[in-house]
Amino acid sequence: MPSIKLQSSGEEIFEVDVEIVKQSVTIKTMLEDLGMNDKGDHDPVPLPNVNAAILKKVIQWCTHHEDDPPPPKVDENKEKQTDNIPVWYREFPKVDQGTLFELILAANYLDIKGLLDVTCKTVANMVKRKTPEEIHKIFNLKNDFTGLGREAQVRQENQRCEEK
Amino acid sequence: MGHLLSKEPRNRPSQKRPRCCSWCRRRRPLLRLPRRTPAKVPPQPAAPRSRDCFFRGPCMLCFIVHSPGAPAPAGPEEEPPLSPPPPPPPRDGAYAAASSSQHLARRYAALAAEDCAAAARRFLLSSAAAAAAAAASASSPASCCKELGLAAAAAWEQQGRSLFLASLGPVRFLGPPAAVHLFRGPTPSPAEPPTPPEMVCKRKGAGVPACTPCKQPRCGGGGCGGGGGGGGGGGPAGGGASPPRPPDAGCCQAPEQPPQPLCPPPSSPTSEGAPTEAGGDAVRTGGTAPSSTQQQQQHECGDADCREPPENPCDCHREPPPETPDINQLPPSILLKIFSNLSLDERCLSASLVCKYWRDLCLDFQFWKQLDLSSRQQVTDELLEKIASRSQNIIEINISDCRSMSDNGLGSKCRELKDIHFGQCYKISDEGMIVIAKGCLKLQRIYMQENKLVTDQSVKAFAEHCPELQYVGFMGCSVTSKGVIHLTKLRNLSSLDLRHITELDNETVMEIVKRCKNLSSLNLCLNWIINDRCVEVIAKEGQNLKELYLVSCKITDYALIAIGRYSMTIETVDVGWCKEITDQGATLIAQSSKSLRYLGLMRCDKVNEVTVEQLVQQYPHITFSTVLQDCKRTLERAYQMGWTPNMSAASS
Repeated sequence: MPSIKLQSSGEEIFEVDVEIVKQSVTIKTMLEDLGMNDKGDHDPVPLPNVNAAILKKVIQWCTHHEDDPPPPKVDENKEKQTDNIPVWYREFPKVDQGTLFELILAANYLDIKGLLDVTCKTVANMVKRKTPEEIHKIFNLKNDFTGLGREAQVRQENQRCEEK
Repeated sequence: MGHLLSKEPRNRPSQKRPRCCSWCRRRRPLLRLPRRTPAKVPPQPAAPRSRDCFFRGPCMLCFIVHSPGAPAPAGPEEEPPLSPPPPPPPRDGAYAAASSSQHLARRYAALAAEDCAAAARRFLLSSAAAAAAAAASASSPASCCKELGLAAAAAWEQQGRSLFLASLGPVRFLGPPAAVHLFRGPTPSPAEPPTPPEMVCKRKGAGVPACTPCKQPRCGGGGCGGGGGGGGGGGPAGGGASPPRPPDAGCCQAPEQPPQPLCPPPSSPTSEGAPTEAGGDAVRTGGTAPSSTQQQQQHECGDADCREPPENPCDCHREPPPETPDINQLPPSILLKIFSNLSLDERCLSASLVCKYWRDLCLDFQFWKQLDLSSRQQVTDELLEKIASRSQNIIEINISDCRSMSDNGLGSKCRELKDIHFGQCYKISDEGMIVIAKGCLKLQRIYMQENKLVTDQSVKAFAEHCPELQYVGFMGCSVTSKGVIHLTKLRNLSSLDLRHITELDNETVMEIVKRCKNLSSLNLCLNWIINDRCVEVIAKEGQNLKELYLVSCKITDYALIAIGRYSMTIETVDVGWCKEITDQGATLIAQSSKSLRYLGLMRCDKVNEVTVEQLVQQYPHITFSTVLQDCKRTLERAYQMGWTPNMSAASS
C-alpha cells in the first residue's frame, strides 16, 4: 500500500499508510491538490503546526480507527451524549491536559472529525458535574468576575439577559 | 505547540523607535522585536535610553528592547517623577532568576555600565533614606524599592548579594535588582495561583492607573501573565541580569505550573541556572549597583508606563507557547464545540460561572437555539419572554411540564421557532396557541399533551398559519373532529398524535389519511370509536404509513387482515388491549405483510401465548409484544448484563 511521509514541526518524519492518513481531511485535500494520490516517494508533507509527539499520537489514533464507519450525521442541535468514548480511553490512557489540548488543536488543524469529537467530549467530561471552583482548579483558570459572590454572578447573568 | 516558535532568534535591529509595546508608553530605542518570536536570544537593542518596564509580567518585547541597561539616563526626561511603586510581585524574583541565555545577559551587562551612571545621576537620595532602605532591604526588598538610592544600591550589593545567595543557594549573584526580586521571588512565586491582573497591576499603590490585562479572551489569565513576564524580564535587565526568562516565570507563576502558557520565554523554568550566571557576569562587568538601583526606581516609575503589553499576549496567542496550552488558548470554535457537549444546566450553572470568557461563550446563540426547560416549575412567562426576546433565533423549545407557564410566555417573538413542546403546561390555552401559530410561521413540530384548555381553535390556527408543520400532537387535548379536519391542509404532515382526544370520528381520520400523503406515523390510541373500516381505508390510502397505533380501539381481526393485505409499507402495528383480536388476526398479518417488523398484542387476551411463540419462531424478523414475550426479552437482557437467577440467594 502506498505510504506517505509526514513531517512534524520538529522536522521528524513519519511514514504512514496513505489510506490511514486520509482520515485527515486536510491531508487528504493536500494530497489531492498536489496530485500525490498514487505513488509513494514524494517529499514529505510538512505539518508545521503539529509537533512530533502529537503527530505520533494522531497517527496512532488514525491507525486504530481506519475502519470505523463515518460518524453518523447527528443533528448538531440535539444535546449530545458524552458517554460513548470507550475507545478513546482504551487507546490513550490518561493523557495530561496539555497533550489533550494539543491533540484537539492537531485534530482541528488536520480536520479529523472523529478525533476532534472524542477529545472535545473528553474535555467536556472534565467539566461536567463540576462546580465552577472545581473547574478553576482543574484548568488553572482564574475567576475574573469582579469578586462578587455566586449569587451576584448569576444576577449579573440575568441582567445581561435583560439588557438585550 | 512549540512548532510555531522559531528556533533561532531573529536579529533585526530596526531604525525606528517604536513603542516597545502598546502597554509601555516608553519609547524604546530601536529594536522592535519581531512579534512572532520570543527569541531565546533577543536581538541586542541599541543604547537603551528609557526606563525599563519593570513590569512584572511578561513583556518580552519590552524586555528585549530596553532591558539592556534599561535604567536609561534619558529616562528622567520622559519619565514621570518617581513615585512609590507597589512592591514588585514576588514573581519577579523567580523569573529574574530564570533568565535567558548568557549571551543576552552579557550584552545587557555591557550596556549596564552606561546606565548605571545615568541612574546614579538620577536617583540621588539622602543617605539616610538610602541607609534605611539598605537596612530594610535585607528583610523586605520590595518595600524598599521606593527608597532605593545610590546608597541603597551599594547596600544591595553587599546585603542583597548575600541574601540572594542565601535564598537561592548555588545561584550566582544576579545583581541588586535581580536580587531584590529573587528575595521575594522564590517563595511566593510558586505559591501563587495564576493571577495575571494582580501580577501586573501592583502599581495601584503608585497612583498610576492599573494596567489592564489584555482583553484577549484567550489570554484569560494567560494574557496578563504573558505581559507580566515580559515586564519582569525587562526590569532586571538593567542590572544585566535580567534574563528574558523571568517573564515566563513571572507570569506563569511558579515554573512548575504547567498549564500557564502564554508568553513562554523560550527557556524553560528549568534554565534558572543559566540566567543567573549571566546575571552574575553582567554584574561583575557592569558594576550594576547603581543601575540596579535605578532599576528599582525605574521599576516604580516605570510602572506608570509599564503596562501589560497587549501585543505580547496576543503574540503569544498567535504562537502557542512550547509549553502545554491552556484551555482558554483553544480557539473559540473548539471551546464552543466542547460546551456543546454539556447540557443546558451545566452550561448555565457551572460553565458560565467560571470566568467571563466562558460566560460569553455560553451565551453564544448556538446554545440557545434549542431550549429544553421541561419540568422546571420556575419557568414563568416572564422568564420565557426574556429568553425569547433575547434569543430570537430559538429554534426549538421544550417547556413541557412547566406548570407555571401560561399563554403569555412565548408570544410571537420567536419567529424562528420550529419545534415546541408544550406538554402538560396546563395553563396554556387557545389564546396563547393562536398567538404562537400566527407568529411562528416556520413551525414544524408542535406537541401538546393534556392541555385541556386547548381546543379546536388552536388546531385550526396551526393548520392555517403553519404550513410547514410535520409533527403534530394534541394528545389529551379538548380537540374534536371539527378541529382535526383542518389538518388536511397540512400537506407535509408526517406524524400525527391524536391519542385520547375528546372526540374523533372515523370519517375525519379517513379524510386525513387520504389528503396527507406524507403521513408516516398515526397514533389513534384510546379513541374507542375507531373501527375496522377506518383501518381498512387507512391501510389502503396510507401510502407512506409506517406506524399505526390502535391501542384500545374497537377493532377486530379484520383490521389486522386488512393491514396485512393492503399496506405495503407498514412496519409497526400496535393493537394492544383490543379484546377482540384472536390468533387468526395475528397469524394472518404476520403471514401477509412483508414489511411488518413489530406487532403489539399486549393484553389481547384472546391471543394464545403458544401461538405467539410459534409465530416468533416462524417470523424471526417480527417482534411480537405480549406480556410473556416482553418478560422474556427483559430476562434475556438481564442475563446479558450478568444477572443470574440465584444472585440474591446465598448459594451460587
